[in-house]
This record gives sequence, C-alpha cells and structure tokens, in this order.
Amino acid sequence: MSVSLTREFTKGFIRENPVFRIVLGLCPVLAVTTSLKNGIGMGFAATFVLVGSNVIVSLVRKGIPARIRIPCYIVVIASFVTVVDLVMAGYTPELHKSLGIFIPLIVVNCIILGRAEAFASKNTVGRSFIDGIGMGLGFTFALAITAAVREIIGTGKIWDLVLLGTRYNPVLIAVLAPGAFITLGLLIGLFNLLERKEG
Amino acid sequence: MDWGRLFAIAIGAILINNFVLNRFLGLCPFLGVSKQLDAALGMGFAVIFVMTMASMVTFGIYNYVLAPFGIEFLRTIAFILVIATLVQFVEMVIEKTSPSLYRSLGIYLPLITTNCAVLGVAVLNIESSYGFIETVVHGFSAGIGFTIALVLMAGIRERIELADVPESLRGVPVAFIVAGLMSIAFLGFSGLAAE
Amino acid sequence: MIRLTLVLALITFVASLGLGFVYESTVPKIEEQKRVTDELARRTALPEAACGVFVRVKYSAAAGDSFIYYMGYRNADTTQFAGYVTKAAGRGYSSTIETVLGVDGNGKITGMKITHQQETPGLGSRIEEVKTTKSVLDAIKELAGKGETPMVAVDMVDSTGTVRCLEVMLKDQPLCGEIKDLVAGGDTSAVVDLAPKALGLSPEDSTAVFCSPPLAFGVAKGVMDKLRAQATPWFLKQFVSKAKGGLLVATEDTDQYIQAITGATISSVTVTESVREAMTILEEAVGGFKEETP
Repeated sequence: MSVSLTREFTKGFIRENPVFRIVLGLCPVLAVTTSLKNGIGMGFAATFVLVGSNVIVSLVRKGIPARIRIPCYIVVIASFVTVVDLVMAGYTPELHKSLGIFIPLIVVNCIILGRAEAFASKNTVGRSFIDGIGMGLGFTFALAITAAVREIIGTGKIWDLVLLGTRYNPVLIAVLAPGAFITLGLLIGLFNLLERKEG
Repeated sequence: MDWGRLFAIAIGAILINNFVLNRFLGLCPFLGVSKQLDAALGMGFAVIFVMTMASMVTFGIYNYVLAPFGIEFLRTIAFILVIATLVQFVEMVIEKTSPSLYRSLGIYLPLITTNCAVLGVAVLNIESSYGFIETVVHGFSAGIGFTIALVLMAGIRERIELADVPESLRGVPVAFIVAGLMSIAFLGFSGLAAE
Repeated sequence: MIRLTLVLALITFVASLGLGFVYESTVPKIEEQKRVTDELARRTALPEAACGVFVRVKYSAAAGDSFIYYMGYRNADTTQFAGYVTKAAGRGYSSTIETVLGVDGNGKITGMKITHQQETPGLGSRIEEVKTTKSVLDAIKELAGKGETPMVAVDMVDSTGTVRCLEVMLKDQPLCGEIKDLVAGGDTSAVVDLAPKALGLSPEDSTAVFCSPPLAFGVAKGVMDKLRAQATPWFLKQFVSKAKGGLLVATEDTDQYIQAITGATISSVTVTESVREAMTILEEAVGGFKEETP
C-alpha cells in the first residue's frame, strides 16, 4: 500500500473524522448511541453503504451525465441502504429493531452523498474503496466513542459488562435525548482542543 | 373525525417528540441555519411546506403504488426520489409564481432534499399506519416542531455569539450543549404524562 | 433530455432488480425470525406451558373474520391443558401495538408480551425494555456455581417474577436444560431447607421461586426483589391475574384530556383496549370461560 493510500485510509479517523471534525451525519450519531452495541451496529451498516456506493459511483462515474448525477447517486445509495435494511431484519432482528427508522435514514446521511460527490466521482475504484472504508470506520469510531461514554454514564455498564458496580447510581439523562447532545458537544470540543494543542 | 387523536398527534409531534430535540432528525440544518433568526424563520417555513407536501405525496405513493404490488421494500428508494423531485418542483413553481417568496425561501429549498427530517416524517407516517388526514397533520406539526426548535436555537445562538465561551467549545460544540439544555426543557412535556 | 431520463430510468431499473433478488433471499429468514419471536412470546405469556406445546386453532367468527388462537399444554402429548394464547393488536400513538396474551381456562390473564411497537422513542419504546435480563441470567449462573445443590424448587412466590425468569431461561436453552436435569424428579419439599444453604445464605435472606415443573430455582432475596422491580414491565401489573372486565385504565371521561398530552397514555390505553377486545373474541371462540371456583 502506497503512502498516499494509507493516508486515504487513516484520514477518516482523526484528521478528517466525519463526525468530530467535519460535523456531518449527526442524526444517527445522536439517535442510536444509547448503547455501544447499537452504535457499532449503525457504524457498520453505514460503512457498508458508504463502501458500496463509493465503489459503484466511481465505476459508473464516466457514464453518468453531470446534470443528473445527484439523483443517480441517491438511487445507488438508497439501494445499498435497502440491502442493509433487509439483511439486518433477517439476521440481526434485535439490532434492526433498536436502530429503527435510522436504517432507512442512512440514505440522507450527508457523509455518504458527500463522499460520493466529493471523492468517488473523481477518483478510481480502488481509491474510492479505501476512502469508503476509512471514512466508514471513522464514522463507526465516532459512534462507538459517543455510545461508550453515554452507556457508561447512563447505565454503569458497557456491552452488558457491569463496569461501575452496583453502588453506582446511573445518570439516566445520559442515555436520554439531552445526554446525546451534551455528550457530542463536549466530545467535539475535546477534539477541537486536541487539534489546537497539536497545531 | 377523531379530533382528540389528531390533536394528540399534533401536540406529540410539536412538543413531546420534537423532531429535532427528541427524535434527532434534521440536525444538519438545525446547526447550519440557526445562526440568524431571519434565516431560521425562512428555513422553518420552507420545511413546514415541504414536510406537509412530502407527507401527502409519499402517502399516495406507498398506498396506491407500492402496497398494491407488494413491493414495500422499495420504499426507501421511492421516497427519496419522490422527495427530491418534489423539492425541485416546488422550487420551480415558487420561482415562477412568486418571486418575492422565492427570494426568501428559495435558497433553503435545495438544502431540504438531504434533510433527514423530511424522509423521516415520510417513513414515520408509514410505520405509524396513519390515515391520510393523520398523515397531513403529522407532517405539518412535525414541520412546526422543527421550526420552533430552529427559531429558539437561533435566538439563543445570536446571544451566545457575544458570550465568552471557551475557545474549544465555540461554534458547534456549544450549540450542541445548548440543544441539550433545550432538550431537557422539552423533556418536561413528557412529564405531563405520568400518573 | 430523453437521454437523461433514460439513464436515470436504467439505473433505477437495475437497482430495483437487484433489490428484488435481495428481498427474495431474505424473506424466509425474516419470517423465521418472526416465528421464533412469536413462539417465545407465547411461552412468556403462558408460563405454565413454557416447556409444553401450543396447538394453533383457527376460529371463523360469524362476521366472517377468522381469529387465530393457540391452546397451550403443559406437556408434549397435549393432555394437560394450561390455557389459551392469542394476539391483540391496536393502533397506538405512533404504531400498531401487537401484544401476545396468555389467558387461563378461567379467563384470567397469565402473562403478556409486546411483540411489535414503535411508540415514542426514548419513552414509549422503553415500554418493555428490560435492562437487567442479562444480569439476572448472570446472577442465576453465578448462584448455580456456588453450591452443590444450585437450583432449588420451593413454592409459588411471585408470578410476575416467574414469568420473567422463565423468559430468561428460555432465551438460553442450555441453561433451561441444565436446571431441568438438576431438579427433575426431586422432592420439592425436601429442598426447601437446602435452598439457603446451597446459596450460602441464611434462611431469612433467601426467597425461592417456583417456575413451571420441573423447572425451578431459588435466588437470594435481594436479587429477587431487584429482578421483580426491574424485570417487570411497568404495564404488566394491571394485567396479570385480571379477568376481562377488570383491566384498569383511565376512566373514559378523562381519556380525551390525557390523550392530548402524551403518547404514552395512548399507547397504554391501546394495549388495554386491544387486550380487552381480543379477550372478548377469545371468549366467543372457546365457547366461554369457566366460572372460577372460589
């Protein structure tokens, strides 16, 4: 793997993290991060769609007239989302139930259309594939961190593992709606702080 | 006509399950267009309009096209295409018929295509098995709920601009924290339920 | 213009075709999941038949609608009748709420399980969420590892706890089998004294819970209280052991006001009403419930 491909892959984690740095695709980040399991499930679902749509968009990028490219991308993305939706309903029904309407809503996740438009439509299949995986994992990483923080504070547990013991009185608000906003706000702030320290 | 039920749907969508603060839908415009009060109002009206229209159209598509053929699994793809087309169409009509309205709403319309609140309201309508009237009421109230949250947020952010916020938290992070506090306030509406 | 339309149509066509294939291949799997969920719900709703069998019955009402219910039996050869299980469905605040409902021969509700709902996220969607299911299971396993006589049968102490613990066990079939072997054929009265000892507790500290024979086990009192408090869905109280007329809901006068304020109320009213309706049809279908002998 050349240096630039490695860069393409790792940029999604910190430097261009779609959630913490570019602040895109926030709806699921807030909605499904009540538990680490849900967060990671959502992350992988979005990664699959991202990689799939990136590859297809970059494959057909020369054949699509510029004027209708956005509707075409949306169709491609929506198809992958439906695949994820059906497969999850069949194989992981619990997860499918708890992610609810946020699975169909992956379609309008700005990250995915954003990568199709900004990257896959201008780059080769290989690079688009790597970009999809990198960005997808970066997104998953952001979901996982947010979910972990909320789950630990809100329930004292993580992934069914009792972390803070029975004496810990869970702060329920962390897993309710307000906790999502505040946790994500503070996490973005933390990333800003880290960046400023580095730069 | 069950007015009680319609009223419940409206109050539910506006206050209790506020699209932004409780269902987390439409966050991108919520953060992007909430810097100024005027812009927030414009965006809000555009969203109310599109959400109501989208609710009606997707209701028809689902019940008269997808369901009769048993191809409900094409829901996502059909809805997003319909919404994108609808937004384009609305934009063209407004441009032709009312230039003044176009000047105030026009720039927000393209943003709405990728607003997940619009697809969200369409999907929720279907999953809630609402009838036509309920669908329209739900779409309209969801838009109002979105606008209320957006306008409140814009009002607060205009003031926060002047406040002494730690540098790392300026902009989006502090907006999220404010949204969290607003969400706590809105949580109070659900408390009306108990006992 | 025509070319643009054609390209878009072609892409949509190819995409839909692909989705059709995916749909065809996932449908059986999705149906299978639904079947398993329903089966598990039936066993939760009628705990007495948890290790027995259910027989599907189709009843054609006078109006021409057919109504499905199940006869639950304690044993596999369908000689010991335990009760009926049926499904109630009603439109809640933002979804259709489906409830699987167990009723004994006297028309009393033995248990229920919500199998489908998409009510208020964060509030109503926790309608039945039980956070401690896993830890209860862990607690049982932990207790099982403590003494020589790990699982002990005693008496009917708490029926909702029973419902729940059965569900927990059924979720984990191997554990179910383990417990079965341990107490099968055992004299239940003889183990009353053993329970606390086996668990390393003083008699005052322990509560024993009876499930369905031959499933049984004992747990520490504190654990049981916790289990009961956290594992019982909030709505269950007003249903279990209630006959048709006895379901508690807000009185009809106040319904309108309450409905306007919250989705949660609508959801619970829906559950109650749909359950009541299902019981009326069930009563008709089975030719009336037995009068309860005092």
